[in-house]
Amino acid sequence: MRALTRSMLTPRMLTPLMLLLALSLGWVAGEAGQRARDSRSLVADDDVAYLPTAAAIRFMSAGYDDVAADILWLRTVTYYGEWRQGDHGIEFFRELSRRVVELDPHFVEAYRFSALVLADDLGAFDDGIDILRRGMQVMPDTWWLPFEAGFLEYTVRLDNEKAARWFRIAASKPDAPDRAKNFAAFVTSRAGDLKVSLELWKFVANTTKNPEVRIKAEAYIEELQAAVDGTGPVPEWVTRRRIIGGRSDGDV
Amino acid sequence: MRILAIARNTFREAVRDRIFALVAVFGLLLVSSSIILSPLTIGAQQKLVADIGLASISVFSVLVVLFVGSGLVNKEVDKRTIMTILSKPVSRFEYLFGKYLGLLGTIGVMIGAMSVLFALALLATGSSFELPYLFSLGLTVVEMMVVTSVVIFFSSFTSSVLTSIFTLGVFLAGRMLPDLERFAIVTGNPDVELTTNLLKYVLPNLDLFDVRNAAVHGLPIDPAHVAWAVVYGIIYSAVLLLLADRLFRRREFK
Repeated sequence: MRALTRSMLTPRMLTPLMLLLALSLGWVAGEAGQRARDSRSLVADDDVAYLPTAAAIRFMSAGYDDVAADILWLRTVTYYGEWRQGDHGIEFFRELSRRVVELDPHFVEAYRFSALVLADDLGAFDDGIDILRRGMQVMPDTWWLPFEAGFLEYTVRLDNEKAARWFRIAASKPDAPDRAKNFAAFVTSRAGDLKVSLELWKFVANTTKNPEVRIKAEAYIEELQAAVDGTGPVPEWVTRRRIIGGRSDGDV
Repeated sequence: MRILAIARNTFREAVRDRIFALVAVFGLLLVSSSIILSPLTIGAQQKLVADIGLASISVFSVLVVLFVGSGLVNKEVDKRTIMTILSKPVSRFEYLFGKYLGLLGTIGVMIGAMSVLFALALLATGSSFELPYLFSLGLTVVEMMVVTSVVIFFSSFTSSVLTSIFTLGVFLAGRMLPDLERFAIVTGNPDVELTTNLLKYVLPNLDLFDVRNAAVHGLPIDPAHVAWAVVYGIIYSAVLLLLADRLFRRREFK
């Protein structure tokens, strides 16, 4: 037995052993994925329903929390994609995205995407702003986070005053581009203008690396462009948000 | 000179054992993860490639230290070749230190090769190899210096299997040292606090060598921290090698 253990641990055996392990893991992951897909209608989001706390994940990942955050980010993105395809609800998105930023507090893309989905898709606007605030505490010099907050205030909650305040904060950051500074002025002087909303979505579409956000932005741009050109009606979501946000008619 | 001869021999042995095939596995892992995961990363592909690359270099290096290092001394004891070596004018310290340098050299070359593949993977995904990555990789080498000294320490007085288990335990505990400290504070139990405090001074604080997150996010890395980590790594390894020598001197070979 001792001799067998010794021979198993020789470096010569290491590579085939690791390859075997990798193949076995791949097979198990594939099988598990297939089983999960087969039973999706019954236990659609079982794995995320029992999500451990960030502290527990950090402990289990033995210091590789950034990789754990990446794996969880991939799960968050697929969870969102599955929801878009109508496979299940989206109630666990909030927890998933929170875990990602707790494990990797400098993951800017996770803050931005999570805030947009929380505010726009889940209707949990305050949670969206909260997650951005959490990011701002960790990265006080990043202009993207207050800009995103201003963008959400202007286009989702339709609160021009708060939007202008966020844009001014974004513009004051050392790395803020001129475009961000322009929006601070736009929103203050032309609050409620459909064109400002259109420009904001265009800016987001042109600058995001996230294809999901780009698809969402392009859909909004198309509707807003038609409304601005007078070739289409004011989008339904604008009217709906006006009622919720309490903005006067003609404002966005 | 004698130390270098043993180190060279250890390095050659590792090369002969095709340990560098792991580098190919690493390259394959990086390339496949970049290709397979890219549609899912939405906007974070470069971060993911950098995270996976740096973490894999660290994990693969620890695996090699564990598997190769654990058998380094005991294999020679079992084959009785150690008697031939020690019957020559080679002190036990020279033997251990030579083994240590040989394994460290193997790990160093391996990390170098994986770093080149990592840089290529970054370039392929439209990113570039920045200076902070070099800091991170440099500290990984220092971390491996410490882990290698741990493996040599255990292999100086115990079997290969136990060496692997103990080294893995020390590595994990060293990685989780800040969590252990937090755990002690949370429990409020004076005995747990005392044990944790003791462990804090005995176990290597491997968290010091982890600047991967800062490197990936382009955050400033304090050069004083890097310098302190290097000094800490050298002192810790030296102390452990001296202890290993003490224990190895008492070991009898039949």
